[in-house]
Amino acid sequence: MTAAHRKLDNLTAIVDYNRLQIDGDVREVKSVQDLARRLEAFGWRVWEIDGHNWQEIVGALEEARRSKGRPGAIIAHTVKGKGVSFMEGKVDWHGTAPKGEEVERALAELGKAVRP
Amino acid sequence: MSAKLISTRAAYGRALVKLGRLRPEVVVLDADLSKSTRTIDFAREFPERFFEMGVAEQDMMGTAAGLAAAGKIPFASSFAIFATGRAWEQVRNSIAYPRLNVKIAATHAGITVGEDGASHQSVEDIALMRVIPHLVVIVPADAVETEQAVEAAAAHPGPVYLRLGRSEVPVLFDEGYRFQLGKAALLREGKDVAIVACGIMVAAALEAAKELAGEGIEARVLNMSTVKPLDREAVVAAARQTGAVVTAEEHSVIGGLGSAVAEVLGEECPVPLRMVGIRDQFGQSGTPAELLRAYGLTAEDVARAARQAVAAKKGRAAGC
Repeated sequence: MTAAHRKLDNLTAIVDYNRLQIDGDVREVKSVQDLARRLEAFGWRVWEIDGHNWQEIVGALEEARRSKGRPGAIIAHTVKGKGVSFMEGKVDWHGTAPKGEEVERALAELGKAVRP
Repeated sequence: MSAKLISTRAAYGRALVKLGRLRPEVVVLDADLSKSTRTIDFAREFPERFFEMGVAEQDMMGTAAGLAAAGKIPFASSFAIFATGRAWEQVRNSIAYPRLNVKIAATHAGITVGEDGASHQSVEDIALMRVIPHLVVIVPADAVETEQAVEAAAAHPGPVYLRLGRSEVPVLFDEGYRFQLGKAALLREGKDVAIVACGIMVAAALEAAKELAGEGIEARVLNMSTVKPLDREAVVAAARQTGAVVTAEEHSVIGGLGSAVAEVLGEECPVPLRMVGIRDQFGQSGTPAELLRAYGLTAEDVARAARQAVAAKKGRAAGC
């Protein structure tokens, strides 16, 4: 409300929208309904992108920088634990650190993802 | 003592304007109460340095933290219950933890808010602020001390909580008075009992000391306007030299000045202690005078506590 009221167009928020929170799926815990429309109703300009695509991220940031008169929100749709097969989309990993062999496996998979 | 009556919030409003003229980095935030907290005086003179945040105290504290991180000296004001209660976690995590230079100046503290009743009164704010590391807690006794405390708060690098009142209270000090952050002010010397007071209870303590003198009890009166960091030396010296201590505050006896003094005495010099304050109750609607009587916060109540403390010394070995 403050950002929109003060027309802070040099402010950009990025929502890491993986749809999971520590007690479960956001839609089950307490739904935020249509997040983009909610943000728009509060006076923000909204972009929705694939949060795993860096070109889309850069593109949205550039558009947000050019946008005038309103703060900007980039809803980046993501998958929690992306790149680690046994973590992807699993709410259990919201607040749990991997141990021992799990660390090795996760790092190996991420290494492959970074350097195919 | 002058008979002049000025509320500490009015003194705060004036002091902010003076400070604003001297220090361009001072900015002020309020949460839709600027007419009541008197930050409106600053807003009128420096509209570009005043931020109306609406009824959004948590947002106000976060924004104040950001302004401090950018080199400003923000004063964030609301009623004590909302500044310390509603926004407690933002004060703790966004301001105190990173030790940001934010001054939380809250008015309408205590029960002398009056007719608005318990929901808008605050008898817990000293406890809520005192428990947070890095926070300095100041409770000025009158308008003169308030003006000096505002300057001292601005000069102190770090977060400060300033507790101010709504009702008009007597001006106790003349311009020669010097507020020192972290130091108790000795207002009256005495050997039989020490009354340690803050805020509006300092006037009651002085009146009680006069009454006690007529009965042959010499009461020392300390104005403990800095509740944190507490002047431990002054508390221990008072206990050693008088052998009995009374605390007086317009706040719950749980967690406030009385607790702070008890913590020191318990560790360093256990002597008979009586606390004048609100006994684990909510406030209610009434005139300030009615409420002070109903909750036992008059000079008479302080004098009675002092007599009890003196009586409790009998049969005990002197000193500690």
